[in-house]
Amino acid sequence: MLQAIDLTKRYEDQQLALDALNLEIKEGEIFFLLGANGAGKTTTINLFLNFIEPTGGKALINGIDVTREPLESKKYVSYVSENVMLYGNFTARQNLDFFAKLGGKPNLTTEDYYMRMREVGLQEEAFEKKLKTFSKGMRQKVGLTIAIIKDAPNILLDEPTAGLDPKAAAELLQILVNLKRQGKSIFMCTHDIFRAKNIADRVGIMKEGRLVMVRTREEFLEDDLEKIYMNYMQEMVIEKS
Amino acid sequence: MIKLFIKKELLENIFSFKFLIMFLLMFFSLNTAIFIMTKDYKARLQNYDILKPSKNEAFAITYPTPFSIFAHGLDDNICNLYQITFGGQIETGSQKQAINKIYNFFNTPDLLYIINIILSFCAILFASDLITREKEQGTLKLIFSNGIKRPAFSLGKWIGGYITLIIPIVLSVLFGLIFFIILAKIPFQFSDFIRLLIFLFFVLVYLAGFFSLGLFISIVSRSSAFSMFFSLIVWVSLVFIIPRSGNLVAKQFINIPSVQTIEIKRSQIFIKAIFEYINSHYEKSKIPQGIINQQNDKIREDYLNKLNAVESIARKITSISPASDLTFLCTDLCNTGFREEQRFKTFVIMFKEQVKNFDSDSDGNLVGDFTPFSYARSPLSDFFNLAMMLHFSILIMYILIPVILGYYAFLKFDVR
Amino acid sequence: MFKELLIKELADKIFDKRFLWFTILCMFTLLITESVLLNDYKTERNDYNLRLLTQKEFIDKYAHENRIGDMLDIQRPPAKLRLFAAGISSDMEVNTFTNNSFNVLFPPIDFVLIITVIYSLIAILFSHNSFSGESENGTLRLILSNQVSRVKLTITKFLGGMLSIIISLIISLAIGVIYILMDNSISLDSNDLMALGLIFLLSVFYISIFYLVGMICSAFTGSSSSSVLLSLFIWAVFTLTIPNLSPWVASQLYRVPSINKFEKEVKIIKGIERDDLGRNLCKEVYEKYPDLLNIIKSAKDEKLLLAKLENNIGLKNEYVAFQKEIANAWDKANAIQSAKSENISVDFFSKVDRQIALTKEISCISPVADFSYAVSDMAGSGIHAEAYFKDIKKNFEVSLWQFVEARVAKIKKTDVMYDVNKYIDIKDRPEFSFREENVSGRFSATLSYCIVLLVFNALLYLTLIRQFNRMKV
Repeated sequence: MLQAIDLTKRYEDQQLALDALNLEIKEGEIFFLLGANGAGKTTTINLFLNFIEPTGGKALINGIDVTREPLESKKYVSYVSENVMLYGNFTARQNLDFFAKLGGKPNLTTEDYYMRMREVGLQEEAFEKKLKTFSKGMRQKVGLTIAIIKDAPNILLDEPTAGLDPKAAAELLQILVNLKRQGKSIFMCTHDIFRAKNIADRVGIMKEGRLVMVRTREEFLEDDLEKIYMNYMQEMVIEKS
Repeated sequence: MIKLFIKKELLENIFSFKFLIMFLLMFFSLNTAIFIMTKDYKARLQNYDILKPSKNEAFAITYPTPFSIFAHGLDDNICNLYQITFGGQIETGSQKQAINKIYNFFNTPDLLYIINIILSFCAILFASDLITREKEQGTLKLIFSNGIKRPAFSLGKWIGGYITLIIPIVLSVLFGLIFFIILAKIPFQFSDFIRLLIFLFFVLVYLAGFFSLGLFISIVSRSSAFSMFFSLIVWVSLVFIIPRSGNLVAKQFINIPSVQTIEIKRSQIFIKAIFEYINSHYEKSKIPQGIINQQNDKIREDYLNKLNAVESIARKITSISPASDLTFLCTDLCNTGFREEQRFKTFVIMFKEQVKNFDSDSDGNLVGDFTPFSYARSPLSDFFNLAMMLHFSILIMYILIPVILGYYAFLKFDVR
Repeated sequence: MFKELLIKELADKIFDKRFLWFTILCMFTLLITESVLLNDYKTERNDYNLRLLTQKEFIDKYAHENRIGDMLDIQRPPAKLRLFAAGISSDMEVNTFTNNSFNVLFPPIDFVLIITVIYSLIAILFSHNSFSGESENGTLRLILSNQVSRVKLTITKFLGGMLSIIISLIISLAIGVIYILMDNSISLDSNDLMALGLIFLLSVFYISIFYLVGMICSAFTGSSSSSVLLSLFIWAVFTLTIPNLSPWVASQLYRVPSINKFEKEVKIIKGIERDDLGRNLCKEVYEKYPDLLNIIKSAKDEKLLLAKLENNIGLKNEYVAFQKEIANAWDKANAIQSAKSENISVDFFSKVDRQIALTKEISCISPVADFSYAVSDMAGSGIHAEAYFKDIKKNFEVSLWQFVEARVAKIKKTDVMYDVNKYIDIKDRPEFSFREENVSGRFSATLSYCIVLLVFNALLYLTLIRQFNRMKV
């Protein structure tokens, strides 16, 4: 379970990156955060991972305050970033092995890793290949496998589908649906409104650091989500001009 | 957890392009250095056998030490042939080996040079992107999204990186030792191996300093390109600029005459004394040996005092740089440094005092029945003294300061 | 099109933060180096003047034929442009008990070092991502999608980058030169300034070699991180390893016996062996004059002998003949032994010359060696400059000896009791004056090195074009 209570971040240059965010993502829920570049999506994730300190409010993972107990809270969260390069000189299996041990899963065997990689749809012959030879989609799948292996109750994804072809993106999202069925809370930042429509339980739209709208699946299926999103985007353009 | 990071660091680096290039560079340069200096040592040993004085010659010379293979230092000066002549003058052959002219343009490629310059280059370059690269490839975020303590990560990084750095060095040096020294039957005794171990220990400490500096720069830099650039600037300053300007800067403080001036004065003393002796029609009261000896002693002492003063100032200035600290430590350890040269010179002067009153033939060569000059290089126990501790502690500082600063910088490190 | 590309490249480099950093570093280092070396030059010149003065006073007071050679040791004035290339310092040439060893362990810093180490490193750091960086950004495809040929792109990239480095070089060099010009105690004439200009050109040729190396690595690997490593590796091998190793390798390929051994042999030939030979020859003379010998032996001292000889004219003539024969015997012994030692030394020094030539040739495979030889010769502190001085010195010494011999002959006419240990007045002897070689002479001496540097440039440029044409965009 992920919780944000009045979570605020103001940078040194006084720019307000996140303005009193209140949000709760329950077990078995997929939450999609939509928004333009610089709207504050990545800041939110950085706050949940304690990569930056909030200037106000708090972020809770499974009820644990991340600023107070950063190390403890990270047991319950895994992270998939945009365009992760990983260790180019390691094979996919070596990368998994290293991060599994970091994630507190020291006893996994090679067979376990192979199984997980098969699950996310990686080709068998890629398992022992160096990661620098991988395509973007394959790398992203390894990144996701890392998150799956950690088996944490919460998963944070930062635009994981950026730059992927439609097929790869669809496969990736299918995995998220499977994870949701296992009871994970999934928080994903994206521009990809069409995918959001397909699998999200709830969708939030963020603009200039504020969460301006949250719709549940039922609500946004009724409304035209694309239209709402477009409206917000246009407003911004108009305001700016 | 630290173990995991060390293991990862080793695996990641050993199969990298950087490691391969470093290994090639180190292996090639270290082994060529050992090979060339071994050959040079043998040639000088032959030369010594030729020049070794027979019983009635007032020559002072000592054997080249096999340690000059590692740190050549001032061994050419120390192994110079000195002759005590009429009036207690200490003379050498007038010229140096002509090839020295070309050597002047470059550094002696001994093991110490390779370590001092090339290996420190490798060490700082190797460390300079250890953190920035993790950041650029996004793995740093991933690592800290797990509950990892930062000190554990940085310590693992340090140890793992350092081990990968020294593996090629240790392998290359071992290879060089086995093939060029043990198989070539260079006269090495067991106690010499202790000296060698200390030498290697200093080298490892020295490289740890550069490695830590590189890592610190990597922590405080935003990008790999900048951290590499900055590391190289630091490297150039520490390895080239400071040690090489120290000598010149020290000369600004003390006015020291050139060697040529001293030589002119020395020859004038001799000519004048003889001239006056002859033109006073060989009066006994004016026998020139005493005068020549006395005046020579005076200018030599005067000059050597000034030289020592310059040396001690230069030593202080250059000590800022770990490269010169290593040079001082290793040349002293290998008995090819300033201390050894001074010690040898005092022995030569003592020998001169012994033989100066013997008769001479028409060319000024002393003849008589004196005990030939003999000299043994200083024992290992002499090496441990205050100056050595000082240089060593500066080397340690070069590890400690970047490590401590880096530790705190890394605690505040912005992972984003 | 050409202009736009050039300006973009130049602006790209000049507005790089690193440009400012290293220009400051180089300026600072050069300024410190120049100020310290300038002081050093002044002390050295004072030392030289002092040497001349002591020598002059000494000769005026104590000149005598026997040791005049030792007194008239011609001194070499310090070269003005030693400020830029330390080269061979005259102190290091002398081998004495009182050597200054610090120079051996820590050779002094100079302009050559700043170019060979700092600037070449900077050149690599600037050029290693000229193609790979743009290819990673995607701008390379964008540029080549316009009407730009690949050759043109390499030219503009090379010129633009080099221009930025040249600007920084000009700034730091100009500040260094202005600092020197402001000091009144040293005057640079047109000859020196022209030499400086040539040194600047040489530096540009040298730096461009490494700029090209970086570009080639960039085109070859296509990735910034590998290309920087590869080019730094090449840099380390060519500037830190090969130039230092090659003279040693060469000198071991072609061995020359040690000079100590040679000098020892010569000393024996001219010393003990000559004495033995002379004594044997004298013995033959003694056998010819048994009676005279008895008289000489019986006479207690010189005055008695002279008195005896004055009384007997026949005996006196015999004595003169005897003396002449003894002198001839010694002359003969000297001539034989000198010829012998001359043979040995011709043989030895021809070997030495061959060794030096070979060593120089082998070390020329490293641009650092070419550059240091060329700059030091241009500055008047190199091997060629030393040989030039020695030539002039030799000519002067010959004329000086002629002067001394003429003076001695003149004195001998009036003074019967003359001997080689008597004072002779040579206050009016010719003065030695040395002017450094003019620029054209220095230039022709360094021409071969310049050509090698240019050939390096040309070859690397061709490689670059080949490599870049193969590069996948």
